[in-house]
Amino acid sequence: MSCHEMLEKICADLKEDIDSEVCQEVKRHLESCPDCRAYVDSLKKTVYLYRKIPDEKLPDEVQERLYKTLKLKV
Amino acid sequence: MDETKQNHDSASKQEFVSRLRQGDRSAFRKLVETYQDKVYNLGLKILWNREDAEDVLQETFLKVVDKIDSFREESDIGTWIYRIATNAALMKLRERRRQRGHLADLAEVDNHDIKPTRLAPDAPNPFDELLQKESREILEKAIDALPDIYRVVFVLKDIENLSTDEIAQILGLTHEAIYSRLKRARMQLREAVLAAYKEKEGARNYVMS
Repeated sequence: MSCHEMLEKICADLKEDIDSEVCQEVKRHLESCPDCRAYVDSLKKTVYLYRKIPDEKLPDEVQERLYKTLKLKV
Repeated sequence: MDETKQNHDSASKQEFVSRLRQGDRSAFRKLVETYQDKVYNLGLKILWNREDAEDVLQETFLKVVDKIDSFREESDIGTWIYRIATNAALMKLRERRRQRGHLADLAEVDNHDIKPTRLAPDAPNPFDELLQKESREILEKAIDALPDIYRVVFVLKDIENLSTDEIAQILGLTHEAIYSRLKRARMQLREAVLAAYKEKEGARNYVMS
């Protein structure tokens, strides 16, 4: 499997069962290919960067306006 | 879960939905309290703008009131609310792009031939650097470069951790279509983070041949 095909597989199957044949092949390739390893690492970090942004508590004034619109008592 | 508890949960869900349908204000208030933060944060993560996220929040619950009679009880009410909120966010994205005149962004980009940027072995890894410092601005620019549907699939799957079944219900897409958009979204987002970082920091890199 070429590097490019391998990357396609990794992208599509990041959540695939670790014991599957494809996953094992990906794993073997990753162990021997620093370029693909760096690529997967950066994809994971992209997701991680996004997840790092904390959830915000609904600001009081936003909640007040929402309840007013919905005719609910604050 | 034992069968008695399942039956009880199912009966209480049905009762809750029927109270909503009858216009029970305390049931509606409970629903709003349960989902208001989730809907607001979903809006924020898709739109990256508090004012727009507030619009999505208001539009979502107004629609819940309006459409509760069309809610099918075999579905999950949370997934249904996410569907309404996601559609409201997509509408808002389109409205924003129209205002900015980015017509090209409305179309999905076919980037099968996109070549992933390879990081030079001796260059500092921008992802590691970004994790160490304020990365919001770079991430915002990167997400802004994604076509709307990629952005939404990425947020629902990778950030909100919804199941593929739930996303299929929310967006009306097949599992295959979800994975293909997710794959492109992840790759394009990574490339956009790199490009935004490069523009900002002048990081050294070269392209995989």
